[in-house]
Amino acid sequence: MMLNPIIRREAKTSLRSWKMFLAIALYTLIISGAAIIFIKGVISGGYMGVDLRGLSILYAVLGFMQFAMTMIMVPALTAGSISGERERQTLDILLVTKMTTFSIVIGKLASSIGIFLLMMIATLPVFAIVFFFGGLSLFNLLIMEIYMVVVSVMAGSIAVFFSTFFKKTVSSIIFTYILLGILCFGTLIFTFIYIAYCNSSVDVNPSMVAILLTNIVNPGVGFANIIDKQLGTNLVTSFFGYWIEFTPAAKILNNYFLIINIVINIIITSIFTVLSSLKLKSTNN
Amino acid sequence: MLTIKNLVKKYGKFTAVDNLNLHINKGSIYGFVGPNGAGKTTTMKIIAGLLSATSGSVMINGEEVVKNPRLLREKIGYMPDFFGVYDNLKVTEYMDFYAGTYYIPYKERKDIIDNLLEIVDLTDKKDSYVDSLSRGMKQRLCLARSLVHDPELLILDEPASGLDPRARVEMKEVLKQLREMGKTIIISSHILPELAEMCTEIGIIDRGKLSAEGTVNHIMQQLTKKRIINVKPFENNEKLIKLLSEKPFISEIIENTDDVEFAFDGDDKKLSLLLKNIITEDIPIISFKEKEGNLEEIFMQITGGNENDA
Repeated sequence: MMLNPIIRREAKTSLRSWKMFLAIALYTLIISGAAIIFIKGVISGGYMGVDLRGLSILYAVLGFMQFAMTMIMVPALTAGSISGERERQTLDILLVTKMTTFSIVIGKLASSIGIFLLMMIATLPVFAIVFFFGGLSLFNLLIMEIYMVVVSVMAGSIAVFFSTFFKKTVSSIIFTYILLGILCFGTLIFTFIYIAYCNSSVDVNPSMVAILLTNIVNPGVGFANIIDKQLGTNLVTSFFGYWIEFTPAAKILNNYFLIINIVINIIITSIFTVLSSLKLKSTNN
Repeated sequence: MLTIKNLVKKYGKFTAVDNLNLHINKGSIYGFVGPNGAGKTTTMKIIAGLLSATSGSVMINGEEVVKNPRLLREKIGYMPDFFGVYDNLKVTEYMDFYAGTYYIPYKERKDIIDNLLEIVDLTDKKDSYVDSLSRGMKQRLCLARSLVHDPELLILDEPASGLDPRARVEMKEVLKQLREMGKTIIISSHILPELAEMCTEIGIIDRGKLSAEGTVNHIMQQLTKKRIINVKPFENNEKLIKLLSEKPFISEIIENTDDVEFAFDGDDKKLSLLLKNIITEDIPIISFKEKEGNLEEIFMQITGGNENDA
């Protein structure tokens, strides 16, 4: 089987670039720096050794940092994928080849995500510190990393779409951040407006089912749900309001929240990938 | 090989290509000439499948481009009027990438790439980075890239633009070689003399319409109102001028120091009879030739001297 030529080329060109090494080094430095500072605090705060509770928090903090970096870095890495070809004046040449627009989009998406995967792999030893002291399983980390990949592919697909849409890379980056902002913060703002409305009404109580459904597309809530499940915390419920009744329906929805969230992320990815392919097909008309 | 019928491309109210019809035979080098904004690039992009036409059809070997774009991509090699390169990529890697985009098996690529780099005379640059090449070399590399899948039809949009005279000569040499290989080539330029010597046929496009078509000589004959003949007599001009003045199809006789020039209205047969007549009248001459028309003037005449940058 022949590897997508775009992935092959991008791997060669990006790994030869010093910018790439700088980006990986910076990413690793941020994650490991945070880990060092945290561990120092955990060790000095313990009586006779290490506070395992503190290490769990370290895991959550590192996971959150990785999640935040995904949402920030993936658009920056991917938003120039098609607009960059246009700016470099290589897009027309690519479009007359036998590659379909779909495989061009997949190639672009995969190579950008590949770079991010490399960054994730580079920081795995930092995560391994948590396992060194025990408390969490490898399976927990695997679930976390899979979720990061799903979210990064989703963010990447949005970035590629805007990259096919706009002539300039800057515009695609801005619009990708706006859409990701709507997914992460827009849903939260909407939820808090809903809760405030319910609180102001005498006879209406906020429904946890409605809150969870509103945030079902929110990758941030999806991440918090993983932490809740793995560390036994209640980040999601306490964030929205611990007084809100957790009905049996809400419990069921909360149990399946992550799966539904992942499925929705995959659907969003598929939609944007197909839209990018169609947009690219009609790019010159 | 290529047939274009009633091709129209509109951008809103602006008509870039206006009812264009042309036919290009297999093995020809067709020069597509016109001022900037005449519709050359638009037409070429439509042929390459990069743009859709508003109406009309483009057929390659009887197959419509619109109906079977993927199959036709195998048959077409396209070189745009600009060329972008990727940073941090060597010449062979650049070629290998495009071979990959045509799904050429890995094991076949080396021979194809070596052969093409030899054709465009870039063998000694195979391990150089593409962005370090000169403009002329990049143009030739881009040409080699467009040949990677051995297309039957090559569409070259302004391949000589921005090149210095030496690079232009090198590009012409490559095109001659491709012609010998039996490729059908459509080549565009806004400079007619640049194409004249290498093309079998020429089409002059202006404001989206084909103004003239045929061989260079044919176009010249069609458009040059008068043929200018230059005769160099061995001794004095008197006898010659007397003879020429008697002919009704000869006008504007100009007597220079050592030759005579006149306007001739007639075909080649009539011209040969005139030469025979001069010789039978025992007027010694040392040269008798038709003065070549000025291609640039003809081009300006056809296109109305307009350079509409659109």
